[in-house]
Amino acid sequence: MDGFNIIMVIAIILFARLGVRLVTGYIKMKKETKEENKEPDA
Amino acid sequence: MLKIFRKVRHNMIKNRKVTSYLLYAIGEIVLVMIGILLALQVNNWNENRKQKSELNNILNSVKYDLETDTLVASQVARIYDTLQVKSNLIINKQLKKENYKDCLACVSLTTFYSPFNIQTKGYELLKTVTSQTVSNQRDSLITDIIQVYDLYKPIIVKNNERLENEVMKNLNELKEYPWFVDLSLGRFNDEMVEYFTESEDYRKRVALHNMLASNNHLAMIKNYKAQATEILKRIGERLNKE
Repeated sequence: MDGFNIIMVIAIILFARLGVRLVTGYIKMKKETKEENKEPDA
Repeated sequence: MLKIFRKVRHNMIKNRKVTSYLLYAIGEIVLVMIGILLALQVNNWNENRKQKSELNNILNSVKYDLETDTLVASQVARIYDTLQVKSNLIINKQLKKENYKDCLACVSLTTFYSPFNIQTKGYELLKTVTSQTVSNQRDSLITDIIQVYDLYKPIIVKNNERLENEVMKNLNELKEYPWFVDLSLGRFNDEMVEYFTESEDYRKRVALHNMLASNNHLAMIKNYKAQATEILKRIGERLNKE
């Protein structure tokens, strides 16, 4: 495996991790907003 | 009125959340970029290390070649030095019919040559590496090694060819003399001794051979040896440093 491939593998891993973290962060944010919206009604 | 305040508060909370999420996203992206830059840096460092180690192996190979060359060059130079002394006896007409036995080897002055072939294994490897990487071209040691080989290799090959052709021509012409078989068997007769000691033809042949062998070939071999010794010293210093 040459240098280029190693860099590609690392980049793919990092970007995949970034994607997962951004999506989970977004879902969490939405969930929290939803819960806060519900609170005053309760 | 209360409903409006509640809406404003909700909007503010929502905006704060979006801002913090965006900050978080930017932070994550920056981290990824730092990660990729670090990976690139490590990869570059590793590539340089590998290149350096490969270069050192090649320098070792060049060193071995030059050591062999200087050894062979010393031997060849010694042979041609002796040949020059003997050639001078013929050229200066110091060898006579009466004292031909003082220099029995003088009969083969024009039919003898000692080829000197430069070892180029390391040089070829070095050329491949420098054509692949640009950074090595700035290395003065490598540039000097390539320059020395580029300069001396074709000259020495050409000199070998010239001498070989000259020797073959001399042998073919000597072959026509009736005493050639005796000469090949190491038997001397009057006619042969007269030719080798007194004839102008043989004197001219010896002079030409001496010119090619001692003045050209030997001089080049000595120059090459001096350069090779200098480069060997520098390679030794470089390898000891690392």
